[in-house]
Amino acid sequence: MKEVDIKHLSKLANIELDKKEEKILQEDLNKIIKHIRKIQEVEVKSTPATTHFHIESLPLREDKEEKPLSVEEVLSNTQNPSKDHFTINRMINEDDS
Amino acid sequence: MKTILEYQEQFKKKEITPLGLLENCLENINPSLNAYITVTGEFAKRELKKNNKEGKLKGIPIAIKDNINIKGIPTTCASNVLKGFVPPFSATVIERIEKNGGIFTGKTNLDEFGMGSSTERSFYGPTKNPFDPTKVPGGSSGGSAVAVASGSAVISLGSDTGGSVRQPASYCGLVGLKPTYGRVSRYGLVAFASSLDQIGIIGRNAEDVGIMLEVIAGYDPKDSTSYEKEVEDYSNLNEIPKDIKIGIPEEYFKQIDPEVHSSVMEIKSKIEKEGIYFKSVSLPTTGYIIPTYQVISYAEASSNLARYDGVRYGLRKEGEDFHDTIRKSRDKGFLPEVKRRILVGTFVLSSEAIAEYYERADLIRRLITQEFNEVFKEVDYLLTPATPTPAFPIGERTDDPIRMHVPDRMTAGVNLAGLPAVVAPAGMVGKLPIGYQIIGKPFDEKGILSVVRLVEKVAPFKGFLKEIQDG
Repeated sequence: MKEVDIKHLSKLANIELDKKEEKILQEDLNKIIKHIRKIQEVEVKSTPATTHFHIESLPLREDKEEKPLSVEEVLSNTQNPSKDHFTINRMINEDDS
Repeated sequence: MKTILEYQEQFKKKEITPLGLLENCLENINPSLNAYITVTGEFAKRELKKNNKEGKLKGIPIAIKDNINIKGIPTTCASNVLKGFVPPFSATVIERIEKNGGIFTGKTNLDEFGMGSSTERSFYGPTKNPFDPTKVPGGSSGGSAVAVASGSAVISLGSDTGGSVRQPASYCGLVGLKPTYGRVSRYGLVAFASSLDQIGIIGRNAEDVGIMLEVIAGYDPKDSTSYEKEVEDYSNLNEIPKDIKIGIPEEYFKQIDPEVHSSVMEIKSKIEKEGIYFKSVSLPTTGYIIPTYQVISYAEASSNLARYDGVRYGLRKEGEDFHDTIRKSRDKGFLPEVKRRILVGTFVLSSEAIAEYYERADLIRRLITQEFNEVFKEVDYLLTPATPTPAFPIGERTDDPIRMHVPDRMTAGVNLAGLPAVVAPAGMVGKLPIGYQIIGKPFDEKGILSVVRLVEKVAPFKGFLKEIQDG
């Protein structure tokens, strides 16, 4: 079994890991993946994929306008809101432009 | 132990007031058990003065797992990543409870985002089992189970993704119901694995659990997976089920403690005398339930938890640029188990692994569901142990990502197949309670609760810890 590339996965998952964490998680992930490989034993060639088990239809609600949260409510949990905006660090640096 | 109806009868006779009952519950909160993250006693008292609504839960103190939103009260999911988050809306189940006169004692501890089987993996510290504080209470809805077992709430809500309501109910000597997928709205429940998550109920008896289900079940336009089906009188359980067949799936009785085996068999023989017919059945894919559950739930978790970026709510750790801020916020926000699951979930969904893992697990999920369907052509219900052992010692499994999943073997198949199941006390092993599980056909919550009611009549459980004192 190929080892998982923890650096690549942490980048995909957007989680910064320090060296110590990387080492521990690398070992854990190898153990978990070895364990879940057990599902390779099951013969599934003729099995259709799961959709929903017993729900014949999934009704959508009426397409009616409802009262949304106010701007104040939406911004009530963010740090440093600016008037009616969320503030974040610059996404595109001058070097990128 | 008093039931919801008995408390309400006492209210009518003025033997106790709802405020008196609430105060008695709040006095029963034992901080050393760490069942609550937020106690909402003052909020509840204010609500009680305002909320004179008549309803099925009038004046009943209820504990809520801290991954279900109550407007204006912090939701933490036991995670640092939601530090400071106060939801601007309530879950549908909360609105329905409030309309029926229920009041909230607080938000209860859990494994971070519901990911665990012991309520040890919480940013707010572990919850302890009131029967033996050196043991875990089960998880992830451990706080909700301890709140009821230690008398600080009459009933509670949890969430069940792979057994998170049923397993703590078993370890704490209570009745824990996981309804059919779609029976109860998930709107306002913080998502872990959306195709498996279902809000569940932990109470002291089948009738109380049935009353709560009558209140919270039913179609909700805000949850497109909730089902348009009539809500039954789930608390009317007095008709003893007759001519029913219960299957004993042999795979569920392997690798379990002998005491668990004998206690569940004792339940079987007691209800057999009431004219219930038992039959051995087989569910051969049982051995694949845990790895299948891991692949599907971790994959869904990695996607659902991508929303925690520190921008709109929760913890933000400033970095050098936008992406660095997100990476740092998530690193500081999540505990190791959540990181493990996000990383494995990311792996099984990655282009090089998706066919081998996620897509294959989805096919096995279908096989597991088909097996249950076939068995339910022969029998009406299944009887299994709730867990392979009684509660295990705190700290025993925290560093072992595989062993922590062991109790899920009895419960997670039900989530993969979307079925209803209930756990109830089977007896005691030493000073620790253990449970049995009844699994039913889709939407047969009334049937499985009726079987529990029958057991309550013929083999009443005497291990309850604490009666809530009269006012």
